[in-house]
Amino acid sequence: MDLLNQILGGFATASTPHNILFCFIGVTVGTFVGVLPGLGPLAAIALCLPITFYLDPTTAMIMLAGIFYGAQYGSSTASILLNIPGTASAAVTCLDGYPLTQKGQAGVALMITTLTSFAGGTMAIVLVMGLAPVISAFAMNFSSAEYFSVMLLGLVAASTLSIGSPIKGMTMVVAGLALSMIGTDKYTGEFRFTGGVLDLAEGVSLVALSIGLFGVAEILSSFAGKGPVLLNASSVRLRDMLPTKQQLKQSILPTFRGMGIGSVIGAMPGAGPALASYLAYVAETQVSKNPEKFGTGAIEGIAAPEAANNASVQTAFIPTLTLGVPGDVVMAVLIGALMIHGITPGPDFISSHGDIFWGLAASFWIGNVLLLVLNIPLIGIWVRMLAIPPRILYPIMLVFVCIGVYSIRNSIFDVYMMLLFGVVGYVLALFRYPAPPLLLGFVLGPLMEQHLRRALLLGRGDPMTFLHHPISAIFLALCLVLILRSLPLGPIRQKLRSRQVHRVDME
Amino acid sequence: MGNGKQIRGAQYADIAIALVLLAIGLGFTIIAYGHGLGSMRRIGAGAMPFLIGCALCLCSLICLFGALRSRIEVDVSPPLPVALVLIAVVAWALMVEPFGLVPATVVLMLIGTFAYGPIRWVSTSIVIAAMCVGCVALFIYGFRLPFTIFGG
Amino acid sequence: MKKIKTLAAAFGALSMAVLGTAAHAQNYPDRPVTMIVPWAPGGAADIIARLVAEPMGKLLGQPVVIENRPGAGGTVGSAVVAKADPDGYTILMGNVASEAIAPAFYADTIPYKVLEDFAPVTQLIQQPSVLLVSKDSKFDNVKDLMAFAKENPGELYATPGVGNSPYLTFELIKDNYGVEMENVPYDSGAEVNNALNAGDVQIAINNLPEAIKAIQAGIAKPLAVTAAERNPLLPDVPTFVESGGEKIVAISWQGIFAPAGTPDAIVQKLYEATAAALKDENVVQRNKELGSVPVGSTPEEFKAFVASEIENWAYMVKLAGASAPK
Repeated sequence: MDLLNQILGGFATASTPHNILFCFIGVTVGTFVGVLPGLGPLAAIALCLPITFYLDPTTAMIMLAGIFYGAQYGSSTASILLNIPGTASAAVTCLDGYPLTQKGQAGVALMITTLTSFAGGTMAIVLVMGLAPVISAFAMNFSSAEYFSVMLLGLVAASTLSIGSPIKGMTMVVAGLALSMIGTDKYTGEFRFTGGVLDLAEGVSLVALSIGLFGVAEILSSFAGKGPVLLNASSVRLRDMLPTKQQLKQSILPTFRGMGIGSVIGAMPGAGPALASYLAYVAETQVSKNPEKFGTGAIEGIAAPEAANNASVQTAFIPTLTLGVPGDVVMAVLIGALMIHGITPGPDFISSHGDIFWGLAASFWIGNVLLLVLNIPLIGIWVRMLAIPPRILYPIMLVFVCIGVYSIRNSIFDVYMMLLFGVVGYVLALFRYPAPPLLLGFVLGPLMEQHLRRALLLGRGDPMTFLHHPISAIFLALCLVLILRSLPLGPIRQKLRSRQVHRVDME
Repeated sequence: MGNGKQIRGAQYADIAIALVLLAIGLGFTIIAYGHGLGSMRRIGAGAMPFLIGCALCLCSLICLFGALRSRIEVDVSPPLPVALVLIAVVAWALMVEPFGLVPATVVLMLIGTFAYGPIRWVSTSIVIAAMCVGCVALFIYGFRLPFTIFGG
Repeated sequence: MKKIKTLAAAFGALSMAVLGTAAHAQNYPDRPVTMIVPWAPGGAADIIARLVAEPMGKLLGQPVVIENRPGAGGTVGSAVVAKADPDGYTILMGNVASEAIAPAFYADTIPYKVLEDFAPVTQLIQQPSVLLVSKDSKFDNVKDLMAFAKENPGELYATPGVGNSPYLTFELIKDNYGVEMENVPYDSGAEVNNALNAGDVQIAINNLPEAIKAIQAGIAKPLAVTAAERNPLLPDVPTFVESGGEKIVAISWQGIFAPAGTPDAIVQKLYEATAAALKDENVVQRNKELGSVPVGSTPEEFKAFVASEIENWAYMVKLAGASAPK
């Protein structure tokens, strides 16, 4: 009853016209920066931070959080239409989203991601409201052993992505891990693999890597073969954007599974939406009856990861607010925004600042509804972008990615890195080395190393510590299952599959 | 297949990629070893990279065998437009700090558009002008990114 | 090249001193002043910068605009100010990390020399670090803990990362008491608190604002603070100096710098505005909540302080045995 009162109080706070207005500003700004590849929510939040100085802390948080999850909504747009993901999690959406665009179903793909993002986000909010203390305790019980194991699971999952040859996928995971080791070692302060280049002291820029491997590589390969997708502008009608009943049905279960995975991962500070997206995607390939359709425009392949990353973004607020541990740079800035108002997140946040917490949680829900209303009409506009001829569209995209990559740390060096990764990504794609596993390896590498070191230190050098922690042991068992499922059966299955294809050809 | 052509040496290129990955893996492993492996209790700065390096060597070896055994067909882009796109971005990177966002954007868009064939001056000029105005408004006045408009 | 630059700067400063200082300083500031914060928005440096910027702007009659230029441990933004025109319109919110520790860590690789390239204006605030033990620890004072650590080498302690002031201060503690302990670095002060709470570690050092949270939440007991004097927020917690660690005085601080060659009159004006801003009611209140002790030293005092800080931290960096490869 008490809980219900608090939730109602939260909605009362969040639904004042003043707060709805700032929520709307937040999600609108978020959607647009999300769509612009590379720019990301950080620039927008940093921009709005000084404004929040003059706002009530609840209103300030409502607006800043709106930018954050709004950007998550928007980030799938450039991935689906142009194969240019601005974030590591959006790279997963590229896998099946871009093939859908190539098939002329861009509108359907965007509609599905909007709907599943909404579903994933709103269901996660219910979890946030009902189970905040539980989730907080759950996150508390995660120590380094568990983190290491769940990330290992993520990597194993990414390398078994059933697109192309599994060994090439695994090679790319490892290559991503290797890239992530470049920079300053967090334990010793040593510079590793920087070759004396000071610009590499903080490591390779994730945005430069992701935009290079996908966006620039896509532009480079657009001169070959059938070239980029071109759209007949007159074909964009609402009717073409509506998914069929069949497609909607197909996306229901994946949305639920994605939401579940995303909520759990979101509660673990640091793991982030990227891990949630990959795990959700791989879970779909594992439960699917015909996994070979993934990578060719499977509806499940965009529904599950989008539900997952939006759910994780919502639950991520719990560790951020109740443990004071930000999951990423953006969350760190949000904590900073609270601290400007003299409020420090921590274990007593919900009890001492309940008004802010419940107001914020309720605003998530309102924000998601606003996003839905805002995004559906926008789909038509985004899809029309494809009608712009490539000789105009691609140079414009080049300007945007240059500005976006540069703006992350005001570094020209990063623009050159983007170009280098563009060439590398282009060559790798030619020879069917998949880029998404590389990106996940890159994101998880430093975290894994840190947790491995800390777990061993806390476990006094005993590697069995990973099995002594029960949750960690479960994750490791799942890794084993995934490996066993993919290793011995993989080649045999492929043979069977190719035989089937042959038969179909014969007929 | 379109205007791209199948390169004849595709298989050799596939082998070469695996070899390059192997070389990177070896170099990585050696450098990692130099950072120290540490003890089981306090693993060193080189331990994780060492493992990664070894794994990269192993994976690239398997890829190498794969490349030796199978044939691969690739659809490459013609070299000139690819080079032009790369030059366009390099030009932007070289120009944006000394000369400002507008000149850098104009040059990038000109070279980039040229990569797609002869420039149609009227439409291209309009697009470039619109982009310059839009970028200045959005990024310099909107997001307050630390660009200058015309250098200085 | 370097010489020519210095020479040119000297000429510039000279001619300015002769010709324009009086007029410049009188009209200063006639346009907004940019304060560069070399850290990401929302961090400790950013918060104090935004806090004082408002009252400062009111006192100067021109707004003080915050610009975040994060990167490379605060050295990117610091370098921007080091190279800026010395006209008082570009100033730096510097701190212990970028202006005292970084010069010791990355001596030859950072693109500025703190004492040569900056005109220190004033030290805004200082904060000690706090030595913590978990709530059910059997230790109640530094002496017992250190005696135990001496007999049992290899005890674990948590720090909020490597290379920051709490981490280096613990090196000083180990050196001072002659104990061997093993560091478990975490990513932030909040994570250190959580590790104490979860029982992963029993001993930790943390920045004051984070330590206060742990103490208030009842997950940790403070044993000592690292400043020369007790902290008003923790009046019952002794200093290390009181606990047999005479040499253990290490604080983190934030301060304002102008580029070297800024006319004295402008530095003075900035100092007066900042010192007054520190007394602003809102600033006083927030500083109290954040556990920051306001300082407001004069430019001369601050210059001497920075010089001594660079030496102190260089010594601790040497103790830590870590230095960036050239």
